[in-house]
Amino acid sequence: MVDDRGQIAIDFLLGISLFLIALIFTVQFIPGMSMAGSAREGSLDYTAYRTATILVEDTGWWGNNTSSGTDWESHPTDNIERIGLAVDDDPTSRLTNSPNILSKNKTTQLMLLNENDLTETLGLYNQVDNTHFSYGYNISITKNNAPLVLNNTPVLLGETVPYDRETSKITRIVLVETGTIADFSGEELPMKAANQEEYPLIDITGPLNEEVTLYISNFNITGGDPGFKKLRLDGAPLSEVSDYLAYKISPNGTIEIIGTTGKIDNDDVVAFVIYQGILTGSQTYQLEFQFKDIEFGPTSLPVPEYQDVLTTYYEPAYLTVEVWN
Amino acid sequence: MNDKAQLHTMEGLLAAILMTMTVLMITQSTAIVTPQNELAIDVQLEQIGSDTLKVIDIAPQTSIIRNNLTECVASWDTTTEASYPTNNLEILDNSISNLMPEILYNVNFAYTRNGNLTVKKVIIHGQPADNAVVVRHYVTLTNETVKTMGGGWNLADDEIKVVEVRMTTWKV
Repeated sequence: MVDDRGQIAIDFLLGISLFLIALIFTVQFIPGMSMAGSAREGSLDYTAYRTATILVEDTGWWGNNTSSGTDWESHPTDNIERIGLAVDDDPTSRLTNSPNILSKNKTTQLMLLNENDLTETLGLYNQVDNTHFSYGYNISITKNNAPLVLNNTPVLLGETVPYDRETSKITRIVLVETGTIADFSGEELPMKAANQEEYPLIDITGPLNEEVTLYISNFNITGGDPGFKKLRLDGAPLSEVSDYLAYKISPNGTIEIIGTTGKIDNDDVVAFVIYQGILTGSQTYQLEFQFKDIEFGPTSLPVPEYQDVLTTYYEPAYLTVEVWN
Repeated sequence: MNDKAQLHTMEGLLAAILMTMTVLMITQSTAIVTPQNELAIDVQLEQIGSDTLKVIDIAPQTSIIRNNLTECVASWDTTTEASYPTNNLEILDNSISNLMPEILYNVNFAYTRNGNLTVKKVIIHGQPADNAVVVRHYVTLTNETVKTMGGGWNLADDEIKVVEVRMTTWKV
C-alpha cells in the first residue's frame, strides 16, 4: 500500500486560497474606500476656501533683497510673494486691522497680473507626480448681480464656469473701496440767492473721469411736502435717466430711489451719483440742486468745494471664487 | 474518507460572499461623499453670516450702511423682546437682509445683567432649519454711544457693556 500521508489536504488548499483571496481583496479595497470622498472634491473645496480667505483677509506681501512690505501693488515688477486685497495703512507691518475691506489699487493691480503669476501665487494648481495641473478658476467681485467696475474695468478674472463639470465655489461679503465721496450737511450749503433758500450750491472742479458721489444730510424741513425736484449743472438741467441717480437712505437702513415725487425726512441722507462723462472738462462746475420745502444756509456762506471734503467711499459687494479641475 | 459537512462549507462560502457584497454595496453608494459636500455648504453659510456681521461692524459712516453694529445694538430698547413676526431692531434687520438676501436668520443678544447671563430675542424670521449655523460677534457699548442712539441700556458714564450678537442662519 502506498503511504499517502504527508500530502497536502485538498480542504486545506481550498481554505488557504480562499483566505488569501479575501485578504488581498481587503487590503486593496480598504484604502480606496476612504479616498473616494475626500481626495478629489475635498481638495477643490479647500482651494476655493483658501483662495477667497487670502484675498479677503490678507494684505499680500512683496520682497526683494533690500526691502519688503504689504504694498505689493506699487511694486509690480518685484517679487510678489502673496496676493491679498485687504486695505493696509502700514505697509511695513505684516498685519492689517481691516480684513474684509478691499483696496481699490490692489484690486486694479490684481487684474493686471499675468495668468502664470496668479495661479502660482494663489496656489490654484494641484501637484501630481511633480507636474503642475492648473485648476480652472473664476474670481469676481459683484454688486447687484453684475461685476463691479473699477477704473473702467469689470473685476472678473479667469474663465467662464463650465456647466458640465463639478465646481467648488465660495462667496465672501466685502466692502470695496470704489472711489471717493463728499459728505455735506444741509446747513453748510449756501442758497443760490436771497429768498431762494431751497436751491443750495456745490462747486466741483473738473476734469473728473469717474462717477461722482455726493451725500447731503441734516435737512431743515420748512413745509409740508419736502422733496427733491431737479439737479442743474451750470444752469442747464441734468437728466435723471442718463446723467445722474438720486436715492435716499432712511435712518432704518432702507434705500429708495427718489424721483420728483419722493418725500424727504429731516434725518434721511440723500445720495447723488453723477455718472462718468458729465464732468470731464478742465473747469469749475457749479451744481445747483432744487429742493422743495427745505431750507439751506444763507447766501453769505462760501460755496463748498467737492474736492475739499472727499473721503473714501466703500460699497458692499460679493467676492466669489469658483474652481474646478 | 470523511465526506460529511460538505454543505456547511458551501453555506459558509455563500454567507461570506453575501456579507462582502453587502459591505461593497453600502460603501459604493453615496454614503461617503455626502458629508464632504454638506461640510462645504456649512462653511459657506457660516462664512456669509460672519462676513455680514463683520462688514456691518466695520462699515464707515459714508456708506450705504448708515449705522455700524455697535450703534445698532446701542439703539435697542432693552425692555421688549421680539415675537414673530414683529422685530424690534429694524435698522439691524434691514442691513443684514440687504447683505444676505437669500438667507434666513434670527438674532439674539446675550449679555450679563446683575451677574446673570441674559439672552433676549431681537430679530425673528422663523424656526431655524436642521442645518442652521450660529455665528457670533461681540460689541462694546459705552453710555456715550447709547445716548447718541437713544437706546434703553441705562449705563453709567464709566461703565462699559459687552454684548454678544448671536445670529442663527439657515437656508430654505
